[in-house]
Amino acid sequence: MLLVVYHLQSRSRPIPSSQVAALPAMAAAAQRLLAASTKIVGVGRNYVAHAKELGNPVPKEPVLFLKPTSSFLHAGVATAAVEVPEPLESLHHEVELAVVISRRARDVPEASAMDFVGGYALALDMTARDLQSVAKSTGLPWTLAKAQDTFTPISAVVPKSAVPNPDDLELWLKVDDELRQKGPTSDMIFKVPFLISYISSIMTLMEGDVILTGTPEGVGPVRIGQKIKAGITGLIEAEFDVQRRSRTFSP
Amino acid sequence: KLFVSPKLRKKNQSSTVATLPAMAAAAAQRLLASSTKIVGAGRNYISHAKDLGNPVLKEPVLFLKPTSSFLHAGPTAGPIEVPEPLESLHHEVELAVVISRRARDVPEASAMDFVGGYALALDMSSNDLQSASKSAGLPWTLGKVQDTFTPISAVVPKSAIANPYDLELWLKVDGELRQKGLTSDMIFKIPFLISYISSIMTLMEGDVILTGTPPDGVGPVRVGQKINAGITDLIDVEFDVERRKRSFSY
Repeated sequence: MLLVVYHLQSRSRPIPSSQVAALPAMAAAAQRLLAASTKIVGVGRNYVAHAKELGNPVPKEPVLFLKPTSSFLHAGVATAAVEVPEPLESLHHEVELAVVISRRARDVPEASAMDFVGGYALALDMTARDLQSVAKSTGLPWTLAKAQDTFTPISAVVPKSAVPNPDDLELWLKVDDELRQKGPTSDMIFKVPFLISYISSIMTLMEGDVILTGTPEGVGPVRIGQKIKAGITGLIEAEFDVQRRSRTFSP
Repeated sequence: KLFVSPKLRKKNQSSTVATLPAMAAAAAQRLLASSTKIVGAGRNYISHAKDLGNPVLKEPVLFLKPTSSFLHAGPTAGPIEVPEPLESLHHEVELAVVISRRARDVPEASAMDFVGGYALALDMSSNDLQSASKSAGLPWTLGKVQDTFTPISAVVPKSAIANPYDLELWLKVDGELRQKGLTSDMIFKIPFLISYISSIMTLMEGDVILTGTPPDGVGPVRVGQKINAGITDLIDVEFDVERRKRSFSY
């Protein structure tokens, strides 16, 4: 519990004192949510400029894809590393606001959707872009491009009460200290309540499930040996190394 | 504490004979409760139809289904739910492999050590939604992941199946035989699938691999119909197919 509090305080501006006393319990509860996660639902093309930069049409409905919980890479005291599998030399970074669901949600109306949010996190939807292009052109699933281990780096979870308005946040990402992505969540095409409503009408969301709400423009490659820093301005930040994946089997 | 099914207790007179199979069955069923994902292997059976022109795959086609899509067979099981505006779903009867423990970068030679059990599963799909996704280069999500789209039987312990390539899968709709095939027609076999998948993503205890369906006979099942399916002489399941009703509770 103490470690989580330290991690938050070392990475963001001080939380208002009226909330300080409640912070450790809230932060711990939010972090426990993530441990219960059963799936990650990604929303593609949810920022207009990002859809255009990849030459994609702007969607009429959210584009959904799944990432397994085995792809989580939790930010930590020791810098966690994204693993690039052979024969790739790089992956594309996509900085996103992650929404963490607080309890079972099915057929949720938009007006009630925020009642089902437990917290937020900063996440990266790491993508093997070439593999994704091949999958798109051949009508195949996006599994190889999106679902590999360490392809969902994620920060500690910030409790919902620390974020009065998820539409008023700024996402940013740097590679080796060079700014690559910066964008406001107000540019999201489909907003958080709509996404929760839409997704929960297709599949039941469970406590701890994570929705990756899309990425602003500026996606691009990060190579082995480089370092990613990313965050939500004034709230949370996280850091990840990018390394070659070494294959390790233990019987 | 271990729960021993009353059925097993009745069948076996001697308590020492009853213990081992009962323990294995209960342990196998608990595996499924810890499942974190379902990995499907598409196009993984040889077709005996003469005019299907699918190219031979060099690697399995993998897709993900969420654990929220499980529909567990049993006397109190609900129906397979067809969401509006669809009128039918496509049925695909499959042998499911249940992983026994964390598996990463597993060599084929060791792969069967990571199998905890088997089950009979149906990979329910919406062909309409899936075709639209494929032609637009989009993920297969809407057609595959919805609630109740992965009906599954109880788990049979690994020890109950000496040879997983010697099984007959079958499926009937309203009593009419639709699919019947042999697992010997599987293209990428179980050790290869476990090795390949675990080189892409870590498999956890309880994770399920759907190993593909005999393609001849895959077809629609409509709202109001009933599916019976199984592995001959091993497993039998039954599911109604109904219209999905939307229900929200706070």
